[in-house]
Amino acid sequence: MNILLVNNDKKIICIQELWLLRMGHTVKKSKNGSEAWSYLMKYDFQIIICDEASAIINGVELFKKIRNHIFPHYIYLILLLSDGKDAIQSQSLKSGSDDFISKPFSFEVFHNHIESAQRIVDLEKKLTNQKALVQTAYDNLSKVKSDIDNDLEHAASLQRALCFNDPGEIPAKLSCYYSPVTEVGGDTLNYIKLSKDIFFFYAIDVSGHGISSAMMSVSLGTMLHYLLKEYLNKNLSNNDIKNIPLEITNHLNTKLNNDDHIDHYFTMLSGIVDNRKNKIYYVQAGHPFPILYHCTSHITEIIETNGFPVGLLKEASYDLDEINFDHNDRLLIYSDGIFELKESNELLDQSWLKNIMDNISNYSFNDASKYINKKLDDIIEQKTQKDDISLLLVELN
Amino acid sequence: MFLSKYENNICIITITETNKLDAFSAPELRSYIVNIINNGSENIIIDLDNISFIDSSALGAIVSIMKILRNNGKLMLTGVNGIVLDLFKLTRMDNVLNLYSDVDSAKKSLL
Repeated sequence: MNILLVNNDKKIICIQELWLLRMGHTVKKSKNGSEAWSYLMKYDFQIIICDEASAIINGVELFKKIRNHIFPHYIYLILLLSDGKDAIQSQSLKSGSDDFISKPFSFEVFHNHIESAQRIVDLEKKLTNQKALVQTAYDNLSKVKSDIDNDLEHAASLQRALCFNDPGEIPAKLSCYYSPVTEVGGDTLNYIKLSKDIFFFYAIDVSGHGISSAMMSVSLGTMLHYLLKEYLNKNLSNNDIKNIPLEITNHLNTKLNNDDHIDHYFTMLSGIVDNRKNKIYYVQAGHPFPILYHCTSHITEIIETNGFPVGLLKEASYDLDEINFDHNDRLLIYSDGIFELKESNELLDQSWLKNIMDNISNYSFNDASKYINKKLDDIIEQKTQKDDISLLLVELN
Repeated sequence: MFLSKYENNICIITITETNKLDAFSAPELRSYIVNIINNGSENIIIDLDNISFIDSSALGAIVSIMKILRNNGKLMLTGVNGIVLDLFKLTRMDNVLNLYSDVDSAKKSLL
């Protein structure tokens, strides 16, 4: 260790130097506190042994000054005291002294105190090294986290773009609300134009949330587009087209149940809107009940159909249901994440959504859509969101 | 979080400390029950009487346990009502899962 001795007694300081050199330490001598301070500014010391009575700046004042300064590491301070100076002992404790040696003292006593100091200095060095290791690990993890956050941010933008990518003009007005609980989510919804009068739509909620659910929801979107393309290439009759939601749901259920690597399942509401017949043919696969506002009668109806989720049970069978609609009727499809939101400390439910549909009945479609989006944004801002939320508002022509 | 007791070779599981089963607690429930099954239990009752909410992860966990027990045991759920029952009905799981009003009714079903 590098040790600084501060003592104005030449004889004593030389003896201490000799002892310390015998113990294998490097020693610098200083005759007073002022000189000691100038050495401290130039050299690196682990221990300072200072006589309380050193001139110009005494030991207690020197220690105070040292403790008020920031050094790159801890400096262990030992004060040499005349026997019986309890008052100074107490004062120097307050000033930051770590140890005292009462004068006069033998080599053995001095040696024991230095060894004790050595243990503390070594421990401090060990802790500093460990702290540096922890800091390095923390810096590395922060960098990795930052990279992951950036990746997720890009993935989230991509998922939003894929979620509702405006694939062509259709005979209806559609508006989408999408809010994943993490950057990316397991909900997805979209529509695909099949002809000038017919379009297919789907809303999916993959179980769980986070990256694996998001990956599944994106791949489901891709699969649905691929399957639809295949069906369309078959030049199906109008009667067959209405069965597409049923065929797709059965296909996906079989595929998921045959794949042992997939832990997730999903709820889905998918359908064909046929504008010539004013009918929606749909399959309800465990998704929350859709809500239909009838423009002519001004009645809002919760359509209470049910069905097995997709991928949960191999033997699940699905039904193709129908909805008759009139011009300007509105359909609301949403995921169950909404039911975990709270407004005025009350959980939202289907009645809340039904009321919203009633409230916006006189609004233009754009205003109705803005109203719902703002309402949900305001509620989500209160940090009550626990699940992915997606919502599709359709105004039928 | 989970307590189990045995009556006539039936393992009855109650859920404590929480009134909801979600993405956080569902995997724990699943591994807790799989462990019980691996130790030889074939008939299991999960008492959901104090559970007021379950999410899709919990439904997945329950169905997964049902599938494990399908060929050589029975999973029974008791005290299912409110939002939990609504979810089972929405997903038609009320037709697939063995639901009983209380633990006694579930136990009697095995006699």
